[in-house]
Amino acid sequence: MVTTMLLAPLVGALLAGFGARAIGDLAAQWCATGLLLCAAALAWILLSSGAGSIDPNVLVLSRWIESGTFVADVALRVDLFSLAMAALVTSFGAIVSLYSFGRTAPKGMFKKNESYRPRLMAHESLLVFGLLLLVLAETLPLMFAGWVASGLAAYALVGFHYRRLSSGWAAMRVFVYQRVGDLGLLSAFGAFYLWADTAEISVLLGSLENISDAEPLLLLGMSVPFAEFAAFALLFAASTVLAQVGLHVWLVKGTEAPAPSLALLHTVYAAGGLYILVRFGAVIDAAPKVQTILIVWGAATALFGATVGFVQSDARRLISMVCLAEMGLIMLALGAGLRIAALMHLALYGLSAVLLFHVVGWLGQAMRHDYDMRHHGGLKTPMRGTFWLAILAALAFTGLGTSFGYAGQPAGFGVFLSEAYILAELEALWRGLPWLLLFALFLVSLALWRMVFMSFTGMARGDRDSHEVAVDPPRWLWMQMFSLALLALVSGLLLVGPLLGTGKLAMSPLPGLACISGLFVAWVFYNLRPAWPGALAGSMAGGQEFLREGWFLEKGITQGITGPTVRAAQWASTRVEGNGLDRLLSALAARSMPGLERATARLQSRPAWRVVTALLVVALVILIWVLWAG
Amino acid sequence: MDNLLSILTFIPLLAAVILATFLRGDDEPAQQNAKWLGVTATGSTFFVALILYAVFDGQNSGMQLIEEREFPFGLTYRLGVDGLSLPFVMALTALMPLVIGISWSVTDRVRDFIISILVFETLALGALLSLDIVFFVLFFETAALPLLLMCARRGGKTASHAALKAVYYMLPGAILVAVSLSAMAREVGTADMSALMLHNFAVSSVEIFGLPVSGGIQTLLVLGFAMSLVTKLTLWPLHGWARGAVNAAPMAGSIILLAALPLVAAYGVTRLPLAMLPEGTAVIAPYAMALAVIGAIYGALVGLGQKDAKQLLISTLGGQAGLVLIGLVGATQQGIDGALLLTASRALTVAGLFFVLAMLEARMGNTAFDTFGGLRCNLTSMGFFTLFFVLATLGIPGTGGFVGQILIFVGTFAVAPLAVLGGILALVCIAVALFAFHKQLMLGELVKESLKVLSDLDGRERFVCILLTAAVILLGLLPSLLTGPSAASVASLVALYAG
Repeated sequence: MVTTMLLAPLVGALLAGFGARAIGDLAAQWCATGLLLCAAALAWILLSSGAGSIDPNVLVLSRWIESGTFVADVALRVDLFSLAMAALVTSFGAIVSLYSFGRTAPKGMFKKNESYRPRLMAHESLLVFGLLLLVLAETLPLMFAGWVASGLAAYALVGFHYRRLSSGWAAMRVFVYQRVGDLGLLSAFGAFYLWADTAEISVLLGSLENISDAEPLLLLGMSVPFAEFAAFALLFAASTVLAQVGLHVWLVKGTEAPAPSLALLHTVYAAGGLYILVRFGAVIDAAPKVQTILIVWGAATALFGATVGFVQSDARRLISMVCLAEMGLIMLALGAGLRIAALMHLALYGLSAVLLFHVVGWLGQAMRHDYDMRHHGGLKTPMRGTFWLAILAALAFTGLGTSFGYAGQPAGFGVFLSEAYILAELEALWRGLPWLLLFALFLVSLALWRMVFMSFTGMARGDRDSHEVAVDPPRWLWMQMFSLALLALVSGLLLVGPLLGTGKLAMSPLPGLACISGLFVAWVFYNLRPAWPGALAGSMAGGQEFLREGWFLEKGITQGITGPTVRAAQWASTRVEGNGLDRLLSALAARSMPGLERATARLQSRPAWRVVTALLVVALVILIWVLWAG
Repeated sequence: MDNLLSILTFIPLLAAVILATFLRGDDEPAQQNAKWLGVTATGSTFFVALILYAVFDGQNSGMQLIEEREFPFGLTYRLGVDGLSLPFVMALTALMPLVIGISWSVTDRVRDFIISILVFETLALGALLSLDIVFFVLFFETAALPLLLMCARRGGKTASHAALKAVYYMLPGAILVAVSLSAMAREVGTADMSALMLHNFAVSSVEIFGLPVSGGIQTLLVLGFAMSLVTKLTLWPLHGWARGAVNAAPMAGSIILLAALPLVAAYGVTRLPLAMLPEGTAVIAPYAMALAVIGAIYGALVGLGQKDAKQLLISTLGGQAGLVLIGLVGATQQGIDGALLLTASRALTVAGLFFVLAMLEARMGNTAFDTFGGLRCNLTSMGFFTLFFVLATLGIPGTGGFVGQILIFVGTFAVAPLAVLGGILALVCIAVALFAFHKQLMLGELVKESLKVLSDLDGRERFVCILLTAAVILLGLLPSLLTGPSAASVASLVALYAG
C-alpha cells in the first residue's frame, strides 16, 4: 500500500507527460489527477489505520547502492510523521491537480491544439512524487533523490511557459537555488555518514542523540563543533526551499509558474524544508546557536514577507510574499522546538494558500492574465462566487479566533490556533519577539484584505473589455472550492486536539486581533477613504520603493553576486583564456606549422600512405604471431 | 579465454587495417561501408567486453586473465585486468559504437575518420589493460594522437594549428610520465606494473633546491605523472588545448577528446599515483582537490562567457572532470566508486550533448548561440533530449551522475570537507552554465524564419538518443553493475592508501 502510494504520482506523471498523445488529453489529465487522489486516499487510510506509529516500519524494496559501509537500499520508512507529511503533500497535490482542469494558458503561450494541461499535471505529480520520496525515504541517497526530484519538478513548473524567456530564467533560478541548498544537505549527509558510518536513517536517528559528543570538524584551521556544523548545514538546505530572506529570490521569480501550481511551490515544495529539520531535529536540539539562527532568520523572513507583500500590486506576488511570511513563522517555530505546531501551521496555511492561489488564478484568467490589482476593481458583481471565496480564503489565511472559547478551550478559524500557540510559546522564550510577529501578521492581514477590496470592490479600472468578459469559473469548480474553504476554516479546530493535545493550551489571543485590525484598516483605506493609500504612499515614496523592491535585496543579490559572476565569466573567457602558457604554446605551434604542413602533405601522398598502412599490417602480423606462437 | 584481452584490444585495430587496406574511394557506398565496419568492430569489441565482464571474478582484487608473452627487442607483452580497469573498459567499449552511431551524418573523409576512432579505441584499451610500463606509456600517451591527426587533416590551417598546440600541451607530460615510470622500473628492477604496485617507494623527505619535499621521492613521482593526467582530464591550467582541438574535431572527435580521453586519464590516476604511490598522493591530494575545484568553477565561468554552444560545452564539461578527480584523490571507497560512476555517466551525457549539437550543426552549419533560440517550440524531441542530457550531466535522480556525485561528496567529506563544499559549489556553477546553454538554444519564442523549417530528430537520431538515455538511467538504477566487480580492488586500494 505504501509503495502504491509512492508510485501512483510517478505513474501519473509519466502517463500525463509521455502518454497524452496516445491516450488523449482528457484521459491523461484524469490519469494524473486520479492517481494523485488515489495516493492521497491511501495516505489518509494508512494514517487513520494506525499504520504509522511512533516506531518506524521499514519496507525494503531492493538494493540500490553498495560501496563499502555505505549501503543504501530502496527502502521506505513508515512512521506517524512520514505518513502525516505524505497525507499533507498528496492532499495538496490532488486538490491543485483537480483544479488544474480549468486552467487556460495566456494567449500566445502555446500553439493552437498544443496539449499543455497534461504536461502541467505531469509536473505537479512529479513534485508530489519527489516530496513523497523525500518523506518516506529510509536511506540518505533516497532522501536526496526526493529532494532533487522535487527541485526538478519545481524547475519544470516555473519554466512551464517555455516560449517566455523570463520563465526560462526564473526556472533556472529555482533549480540553481536548490543546488545551493545541496551544499547544505550533502554536507549534512556527509557529516552524518562520518558520524554514524551508515546511510540508513533509522540507524542514524538512533545515534544522533549523542552527536554533541562528536569530535569537532577542522575547517580552514578552525575547530567547528560537529553538531553545530551539521545543524547549520541542514538549516541552510531547508532555508533554500523555505525561501528564507536572502534565499527567497527563486520564490519571487517563481510567480512565472501557472497560478494554481504556485500553491504547490509554496506548500508542498516548502514542506521538504520543514521535513528535514523535523526529521533530524535531534541535531538541531544539540546546536543552540543554530536554534537562535533559526528563530532570528525566521522572524526576519516573516517581517520581510509581510512588509514587502502589503505594497505589491501584482496579486500573485502579493500572495507569494504573505506565504513567505508564514514560512518565516514556520522556521521560527522550528527554531523554538515547536515542531508539531510548525507542521500544523504548514497544513493550515497551506490549505488557505491553495485557495488564495486559485482565487488569484481565476482573477488572472478572467482579466486576460493581467494580475495587476490596479487594473481590477468592481469584480464583485461579475465574479460573485470568486469574491466570497476570496473572503473565506483571506479569513482562513489570517485566522480569527479566541483563546478563551467553549469550556475554556481556545477556538478559532483558519491558522489562528497554530499562530496563537506559537506566539504564546515564544512569549515565554523570547520576550518582545511576539510583538514583532504580531506586526507582521497585521501587515499580512492588511495585504490580503487589500487584495480582496482592490480587486473586487470599488470602480472597475484598467481594460474595459476585460471587465466585460470577466466571469466566475464553472459552478462545479467553485462549489467544490467552497467545500475546501470551509475545511480550511475549521481544520484548525479538527487538528488542534490530535496534534497539540486536548489539555488546556496556552494561547495568545493576539493573532485574531491582528487579523481584525488588518481587515479594518484595509476596509477604511480601500472602501471608505480610497484616496488615503495614494496620499500615504506619496508622502513616503522612498519607503514604499524600499518595500516594493523587497528591501533592495534582489537588486543587492543581482549587483553583488549575479553581476560580478557575469563579469567574471566575460573576463575569464576573453582576457584569461588564451593567455599565458596557452599563448606561448600557440606561438610555438604557429612556428612549427610550415614543417607540419610539409609532413602532412607527405603523409597524405599516396606512397607514404601505403607505407603507413604496410607498417600497421606488419605490426599486426607480428603481434598475432607473438600471441599465438607464445 | 587465453587471449581474450588481446582480442578485445586489437579488434578495432584489425578493422582499421582492413579499412586502410581494402576500402577505396570516398563515395556514398564507401562511406556507408566504412561506417558499418566501424560499428561492427566497436560493437564486437563491446560484445567481447561483455564476455570479459561475465568471466571476471569480482571477489578477486588482483590481476586476472593475465597474458604474458616475450616480445621482440627484449620487451614483455603483458596484459591483465582487475577491478580498477574493468569499469573503464566497460564504459569505453560501450561508448565507442554510440560515438560512431552519432557520426552517421559525417560525409567528409569518412574512412580516415573511422580509422582514427578505431585506432584510438585500441590505444585506449591498451592503456587500460597493459601491465608493462613500456606498452602502457606507448598506449596511454599516444591515445589522443589519431584524433588530433584527423583534426589536422580535416580542418585546414586553424585545425592543424590547434592539433599541433594540443601535441605541445601533451608532450611534456608524456615525457615526465615516461621518465617517472622508468625511474620506478629501475628501482624495482622490472617493468611489470603489478610489481611496481607492490613496491614501497621511499617516503623519507628529500630536498630540492634547499626546499624539503614531504613524501620524498613518492611526491616527486606523483608530480611527474600530474602534468599528463591534468592535461588529459582537460583541467585548469592545462586545458587550453581542448578549446582549439575539440572545437576543430568533428562531433565524435569532440566526444572522444572530452569524454573518452578523460576516462583513460581517470584510470591513470587510479593506476599510477593512487595504486603505486599512496603516500605521495596523500601529500599532493589537497592541492589536487583545490586544483579540481578551481578548474571546475573556472571552466563553468569561461563556459558562461561563450557565444558558441560548442565552446560553452567544451569549457564547462572539461571542468566537470574536476569532480572525478576529487573523488579519486580523496581515496575513500565511496569516493573512488563515485568517480568510476561519474566518469562513465559523464562520458554518456557528454556524448548526448554533443550529439544534439551535431544535429544542430548538421542542420544550420554552425553552433553559435545567435543562430538559435526557441527551438523547443518546434523540435519537441530534440528539446526533450537536450534538457535530459543537461539534467543528467548535473546528476538528477535516476542517472549514474546522481549516484556518482552523492558517493563522491558523502565519501570524501570524511577526509576533505572543504573540497566537498567546493565541489558542490562548482556543481552550482556548472548548472548555471548548462542552463544558459539550454535556454539560449531551446527556450523563448521561435522567431527566426530559418529555424522554423528545421526538422526534429529522425528515427536513427532518436534511437541513438534513446540508447544513450537508457545507458545513463541503467547506471543510475543499477550502479553496482559498474561498482560491483570493482569493489574488492577498490577496497584493497583504499586499504593500501590508509595503511
